[in-house]
Amino acid sequence: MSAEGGATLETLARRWNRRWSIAAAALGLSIATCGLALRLPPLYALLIGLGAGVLLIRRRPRVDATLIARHFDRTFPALEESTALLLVPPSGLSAMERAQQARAASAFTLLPATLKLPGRPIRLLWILSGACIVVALSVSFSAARVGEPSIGRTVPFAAAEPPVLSGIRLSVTAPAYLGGSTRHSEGDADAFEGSHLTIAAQITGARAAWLVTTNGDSFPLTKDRSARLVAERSFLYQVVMTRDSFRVLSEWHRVTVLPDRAPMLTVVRPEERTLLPPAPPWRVPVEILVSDDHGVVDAHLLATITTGSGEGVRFREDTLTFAVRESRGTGLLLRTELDLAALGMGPGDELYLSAQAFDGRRPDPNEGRSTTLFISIADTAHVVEAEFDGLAIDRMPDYFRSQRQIIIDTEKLLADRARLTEAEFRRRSNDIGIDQQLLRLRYSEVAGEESSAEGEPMSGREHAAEEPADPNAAAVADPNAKAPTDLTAGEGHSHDIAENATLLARSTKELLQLALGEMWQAELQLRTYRPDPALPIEHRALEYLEAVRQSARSYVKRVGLDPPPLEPDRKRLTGMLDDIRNARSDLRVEASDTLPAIRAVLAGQEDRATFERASRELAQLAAAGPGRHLATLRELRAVQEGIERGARCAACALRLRAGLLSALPRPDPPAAGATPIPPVASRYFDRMRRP
Amino acid sequence: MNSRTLDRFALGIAVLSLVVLGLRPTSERVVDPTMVVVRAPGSTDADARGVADSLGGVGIVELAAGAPLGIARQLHVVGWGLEEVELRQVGDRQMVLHPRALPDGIRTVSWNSSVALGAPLEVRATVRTARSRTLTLVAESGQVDSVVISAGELTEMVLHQIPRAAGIAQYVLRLGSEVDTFSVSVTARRPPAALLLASAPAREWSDLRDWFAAQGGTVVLRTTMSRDRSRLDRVNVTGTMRGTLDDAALARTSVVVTDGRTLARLTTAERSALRNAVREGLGLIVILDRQARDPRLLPAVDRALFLPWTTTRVADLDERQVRPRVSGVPISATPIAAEAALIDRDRFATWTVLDDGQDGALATATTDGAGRVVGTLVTGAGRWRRGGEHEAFGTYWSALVHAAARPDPLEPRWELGGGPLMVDRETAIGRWGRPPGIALAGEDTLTFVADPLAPGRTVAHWWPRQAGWNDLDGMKVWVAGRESWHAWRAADRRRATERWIDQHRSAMTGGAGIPVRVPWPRLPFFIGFVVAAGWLWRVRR
Repeated sequence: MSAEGGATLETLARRWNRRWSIAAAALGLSIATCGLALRLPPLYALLIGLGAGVLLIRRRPRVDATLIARHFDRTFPALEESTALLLVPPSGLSAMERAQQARAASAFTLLPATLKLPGRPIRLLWILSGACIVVALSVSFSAARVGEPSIGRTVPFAAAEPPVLSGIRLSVTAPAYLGGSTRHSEGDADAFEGSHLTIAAQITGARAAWLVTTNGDSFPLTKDRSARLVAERSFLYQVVMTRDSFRVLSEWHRVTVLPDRAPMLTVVRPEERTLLPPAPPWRVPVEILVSDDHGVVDAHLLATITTGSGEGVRFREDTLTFAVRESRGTGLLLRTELDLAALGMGPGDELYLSAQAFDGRRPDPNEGRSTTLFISIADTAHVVEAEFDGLAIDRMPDYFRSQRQIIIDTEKLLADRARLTEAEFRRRSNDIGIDQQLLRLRYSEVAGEESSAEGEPMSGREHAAEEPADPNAAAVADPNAKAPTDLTAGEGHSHDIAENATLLARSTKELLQLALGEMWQAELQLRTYRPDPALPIEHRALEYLEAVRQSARSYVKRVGLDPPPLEPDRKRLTGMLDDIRNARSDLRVEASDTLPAIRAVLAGQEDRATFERASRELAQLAAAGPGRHLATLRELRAVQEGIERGARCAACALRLRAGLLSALPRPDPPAAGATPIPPVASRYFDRMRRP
Repeated sequence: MNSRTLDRFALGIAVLSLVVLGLRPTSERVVDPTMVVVRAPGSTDADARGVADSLGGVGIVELAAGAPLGIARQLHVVGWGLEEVELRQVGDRQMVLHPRALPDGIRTVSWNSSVALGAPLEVRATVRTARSRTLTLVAESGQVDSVVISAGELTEMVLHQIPRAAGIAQYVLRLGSEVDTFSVSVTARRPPAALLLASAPAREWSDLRDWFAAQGGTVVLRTTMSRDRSRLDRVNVTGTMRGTLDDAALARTSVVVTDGRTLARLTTAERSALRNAVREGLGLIVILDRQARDPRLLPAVDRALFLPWTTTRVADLDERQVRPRVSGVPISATPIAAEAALIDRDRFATWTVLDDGQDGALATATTDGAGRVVGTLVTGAGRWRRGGEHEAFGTYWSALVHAAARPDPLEPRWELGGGPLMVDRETAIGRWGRPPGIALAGEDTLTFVADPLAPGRTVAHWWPRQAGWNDLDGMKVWVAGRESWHAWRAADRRRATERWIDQHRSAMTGGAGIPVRVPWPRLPFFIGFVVAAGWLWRVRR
């Protein structure tokens, strides 16, 4: 008997738990239904309902046979507080306990057939479920009544009530690759390019309604009074409602489309041009900073390797990955180290390197590219030796920058100054100074300049000053200068040598000399780590070089047919014209009047049609830059409504006039007749009229 | 002298000084009844009384309060001066101005009260302020131009704005907290009928033809193609305008544009017709190319009319690049080609239309009879149009056409004084394009009579009675209230009074001597009091 009682208790506990689970599931379902009725996103509504149900089931009250036994002890005194003994097997009881168990078992059999457990918590769940269902039904009914389609139906409207727009709900769902989140607003919104827009209008009393945009689209608002479109470019829109003779326009609202911009790549390392020594190791660290408005998905390096020289140059392209990727906000810091030897490069080869990055835009991702980096390995086989006064001069490789590039580098250095260490700043300044020196050397060759110590050419002025100079001065000024390869290089000068002379005219040569002088000064400033004063000097050098280039043009003599000179004064108008008649053409050109409706409103026209045409003209202007004329569009509507109501708003009219005048383009200068009195006579007449 | 005596003496001095300073003792003097002090705005009672005392205690009158001048023969005006209307009361009396400092603000201001749509409104003003301030021109669409006024300097400046729509435009000149309003009439003018005579086909001519045509103007381009052969392009021509140079055709034309070579190739009859038409009012624009500058090109009689200017070569050039300016404002930063010469400014009754910014005249206008002739050295304005600078091209030709083209006699045009219209000031109004007659100005009736100096112009005098917007023969005009243009009013009083004195100077110099009795000076008594009081204070300590 005791086993039977224990089984009953167990059954009762299971049944109570099952009823709780059913009620909790029902409540979860009701909550989800209510969420859907309240126009939450379906996924959100289901997740909330499911979460609520699972939470209620997992955190339900701990009801088991022991708890029910205690409940029965409290409820039925006949059990003598011994119901728990029914759950214990007799073998584990003492004699006294077994006797009491038998008394409890007999008393248990006398209990009513249907044992009731406390159902208050479960009822509460059901009540909550019912409340949710009631809310969902009421919301659904009211929404259905508001959105009831009236197309094709005769609606008993009041005679003089125009259609009413009680609100506009704009839902912007971002593209899937941007998370697909949905935002709601009351008409105006910013949307990412490719977002899905749902414009729902709450309209009453309209037989037909549609949505017009400044992009030229027109969407009928039929079933649920909503239109769906994709945000491709910014636009304004308004709702047009009609019924009988009523035609009601809403205010203009804006949708500003934010385009997804391409990734921007900034090369941190290496420099734009890198020259490696002929001997390995040829390892080049590469560091690229990539930024994007929504994040970078993929990035890699594009390498083009050139090998060989002359006609035998071969190109090979390769794609390299980055070894390290560090997140920096919505961007990445990419690092790798290139081993040029592993890429199969050798002395004389060049590597053109650029980084490429893609964002997550779908279906066509945006692509960004960095500037191209030039990495070359010096070629020992191309060192040229030339005889100058019997001295062997080691020429530099054909590597030098343009003056314009030097200016750009200097400007970049000045711009980066704040974030550079002093040592790095000095190093870069010195590097630019070296570039300036190389360029000066190259132009010196063109100008046929003399050579100074270490193969540097000198102008005549500098030559004069060179004699007493400290022979180590150049080395002091230029710590990066090459060691002299010939000890006799600083001992002699070459004067009036045919090889050094050029075919340039005197004026051109003087200009070149001036340019070289400026380059010398710029180099001095750069090598002493003062790029600020160097910049204007560099600009002057560039101007001189440009002048040389221009003046050199005049020396290019055209070769070809040299026709005899024309004699228009003698030959013109002397031909035979018997069969030739006077030509004549007639043309009509209408002066185009732009924005006539806006001008009409400014001139004082106040009829509805003019206002609507002006509104359309203004909307077209606003389409070019949404937000520019939006306030004026609203003022236009406010003034129009004020006029129709008979309640004019003077302040609105002034603001409207200001906005319309701002929207008008600047008129062309007129072809107008003169003033009746010439300026020279005007003052005279004024004096004559004075009493 | 012992100390006690000195103390008593100082006490006496102090008491005497206090009595004189405080009680202002008066004595019986002879007052000249023909001399009065006129107190004008800008002066206080004390100012007027001070001047009156210095003149022997003559009487003080206020014309603004309606006081009569009576038998007064000599007026001493204290303050900013008298207005035109008050000056009429002065008659043949002698007048001396005792000026007081003018208030800070706009001293002079003028603008073109009737503006063609597309042409700039130019507000010329002279301003003086004690502190540095900004003078701002505000249109209905917002602030459009401004200039910073240096502290303590009399600054002359021009503010520009191009109205964007025809109609009545309202503007505000703002200087610190002072705001003054005025209005301008903007009208869309009808382009003049143009005849272009080209010596050879060139892009410059077709550009000019298109510019006239784009504004709806009537234009005929006659291009010499060969001997006795020409091409005629007629745009918007409805009648029989054939491009011929005869009296009838030129009477329907407002402006002729041509170059020196074309002038040289005209027949004697054509040149005669052109000469007569110019004297009748036709406008002529001549491009002063190399042929036009050749003194042997035309007979002397024709040259005196068509090419009356002399030019000076600039260096040894065939052509130079210039950046023309209109009214001192550069048209564009892009230079254009011009003949390497400058027009001499030594001719009487000529005015410069364009200059090169370096005191050189590029285009000059002069009058001949009722017509005007404009010569220009610019030969490559079409570069602006080809480079997309249509506005610069239009500004250049607009300046030339506006200087030369025959005025439309039927086009209504108003002249509202060129300055502020005031509710308490009489204003002379000029009107063109309408015959003499009556016009309504609010509740007043204005009688416009023919101006004997300018045929076609009628004039009337208007004394607005209501500040704010007034209706003037169908046109709205803004009339400033009494509190507006404060500094301008003061300066205008000063100008009018000084002008009156200048005109009557000869009459004043012949006046008889006026007996003047000078009262006791206050300063010695004040010093005496201070010294005496100081002495007594020292003794007391």
